[in-house]
Amino acid sequence: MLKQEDNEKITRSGPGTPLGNLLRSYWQPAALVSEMPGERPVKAVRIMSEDLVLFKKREGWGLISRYCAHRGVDLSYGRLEEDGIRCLYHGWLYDGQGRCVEQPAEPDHSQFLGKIRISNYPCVEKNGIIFTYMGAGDPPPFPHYDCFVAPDEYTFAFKGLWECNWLQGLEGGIDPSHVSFLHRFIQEDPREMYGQQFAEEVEGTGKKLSMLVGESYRPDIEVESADHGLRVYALRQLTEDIKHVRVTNLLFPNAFVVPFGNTKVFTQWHVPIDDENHYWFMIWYDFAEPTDKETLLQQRLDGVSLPDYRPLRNRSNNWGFDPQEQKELTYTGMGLDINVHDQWAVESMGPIQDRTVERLGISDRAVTANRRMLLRAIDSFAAGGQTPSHPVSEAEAAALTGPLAMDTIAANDAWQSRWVQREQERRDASPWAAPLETAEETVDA
Amino acid sequence: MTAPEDSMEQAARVRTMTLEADDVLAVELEPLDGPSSEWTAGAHIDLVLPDAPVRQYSLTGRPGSARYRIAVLREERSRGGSKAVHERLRPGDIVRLRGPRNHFALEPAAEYLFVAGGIGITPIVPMLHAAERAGARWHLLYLGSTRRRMAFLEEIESIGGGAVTVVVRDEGGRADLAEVLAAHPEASVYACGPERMLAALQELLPDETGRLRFEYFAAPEVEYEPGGAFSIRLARTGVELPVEPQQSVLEVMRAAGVEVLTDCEEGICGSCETHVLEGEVEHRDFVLTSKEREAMDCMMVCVSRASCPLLVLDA
Ligand code: FES
Ligand code: FES
Ligand SMILES: [Fe+2]
Repeated sequence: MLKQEDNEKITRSGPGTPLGNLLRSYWQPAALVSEMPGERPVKAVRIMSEDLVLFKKREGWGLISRYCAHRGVDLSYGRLEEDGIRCLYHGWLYDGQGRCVEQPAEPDHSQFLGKIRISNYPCVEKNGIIFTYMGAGDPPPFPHYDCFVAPDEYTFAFKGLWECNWLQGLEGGIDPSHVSFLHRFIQEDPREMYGQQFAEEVEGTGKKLSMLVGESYRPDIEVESADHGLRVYALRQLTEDIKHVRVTNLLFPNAFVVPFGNTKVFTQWHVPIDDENHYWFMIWYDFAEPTDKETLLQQRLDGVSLPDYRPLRNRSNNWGFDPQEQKELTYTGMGLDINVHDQWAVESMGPIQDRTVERLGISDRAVTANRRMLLRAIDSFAAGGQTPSHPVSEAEAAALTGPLAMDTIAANDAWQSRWVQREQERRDASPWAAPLETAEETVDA
Repeated sequence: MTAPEDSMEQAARVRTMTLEADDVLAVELEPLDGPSSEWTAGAHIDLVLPDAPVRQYSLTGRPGSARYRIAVLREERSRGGSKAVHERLRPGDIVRLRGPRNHFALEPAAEYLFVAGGIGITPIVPMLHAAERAGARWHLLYLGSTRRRMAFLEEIESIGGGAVTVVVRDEGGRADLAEVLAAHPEASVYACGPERMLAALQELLPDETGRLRFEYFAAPEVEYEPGGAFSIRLARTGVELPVEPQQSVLEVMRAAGVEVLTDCEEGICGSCETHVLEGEVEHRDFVLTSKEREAMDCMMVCVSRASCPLLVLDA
């Protein structure tokens, strides 16, 4: 339960809000490279209640206010030029830094031009996502997290629209106990497709993860503070001597990092569009093999409508809920895509969950730990202090690695060393991953 | 990676007890589950003995050694902590302890000046080892009333490396602290001993210089019992209130008219989190991570208590 004022504080991200200021001090995903139209790479985007237009420059990307300073016309319909975008109404031209560089209708001697500058934010492309920095001052260096250092061919990026506050989405991702229910199948998990989360067989058990976590639904959850945010362990006793160990992470402030089968991991950001809608953006990376991007992209595009990446199953059609399916096939009755299950769970709470009336239990430890960290960081940021996962130098950025995310089984008393050893093995075998020694600084050790 | 949480109690066996000096017993404790973490110079443990107040003792000897070694001075005015050790504790006994925690850590420096008074030598001994190992220059000024009551004299000699000055009052020794400090203008100063000595040092090295770190060996004079009574001070109003053993901090706060948001009232939901400005918390919740526990800057008031006489709360 939270006080109303705290719930406001951690959900509202518009310009000038305490959370908005904090989130803006981190690089945030703005768009997928793959969503930018090839012919005319310009797209209107809305991030944290700011309307912007993203466009391709000769080198890199420009992200500027969506509305022309002159008379407020929509620049996302503008003419894309070599290094800027020109307003259709009276021809004002803006460059990637938001500077007005031409006002063709004004007299030659006019000094007016130099006074016009609209909001503008630097962009950097990383593994299929265009990241932007909307904060004050210089952007921080990128931490050396796996999702950023993995070579492009070992990654895959995608996004999706969830029609609810960003924090609901994020809290779903760090809640280790819902997977035992929400993603359950009544009988066998019928999914055989490449790239389906929880459909991977857990080594040594002959069972798919969805089944395994469904059978063992009361995990021990341990939460540790870490330099990157939080490390969350969910331990499920499978037999008398064997545990399933799932290690996931909160990547402060608005992402999580979870394992996905034996060699894959994904990092997923939850970025506010406004206070009642958000996009999740993910970079999935494979330690062992290059990804089949074409297949993955097609699979995922089949589930959404463009240009908004709105899932075909959504509130307007009750997420495709089918009572018969709920009886026979899936726990939810909303299809096989577990992403839709997660989406339903957090959208069904309403646009902004009323956290003054919820009832949290022991299995919500990660959720409450994250809220404490967030509330603290908001205050500390406002007071000019340091916040987690926010390097101020290249050396600090290089020390932020991993985070380690793992699904494995282990003998009861060896689980603590076993999962680390598995992580070590897959890193050693990986053509690109950094070895474990430098992979992560633990805090609680 | 997941060290057992420090604030949790663990069991340890008394392996040896050695009379190190008159009225000073060194006790070696061996944690039954193995040492929980590498301890560093300046660390202390809480010793929980049946029917005695919980007391904090600095660890001594070589930093990181697997057995926890403490030195306990018999104090006539003690309310039972040191008495229980001297009179009742015996090798082979199982005791409970918490920690180690370190609030008196040695920061890296090129040169150290250590000042110890009496039993205050306890946390200084591991610091000498650490300084020696780091290759720093170090000097020790060890003050005592009578040589027979000064522990670890031989052990200190055997560390070698640094310069040791022993000043014994009943041998006519006098220490001029100002002179010693002036002789080592660059050194970081670490001191532990009686209040008089520390007050004198503080006067010579006011806070602004940042050179002095110290620990009172005798603090806190008032001890607490696990689950026993303690006080809270509400910083916003300055009100100080007793918390009796059968009361929770939450009850006392509410009775004083402070509004606290709660739900579970059993330490699982995190709703009643309250910021702690001063004091040490005995965390009894299931919510905080071990790092958050160590920070001692917040508590779940529905279940957690104090492990010190007074907690100052931001309420
Ligand atoms: S059971 Fe958790 S939200 Fe209902
Ligand atoms: S009221 Fe739930 S932790 Fe205190
Ligand atoms: Fe999920």
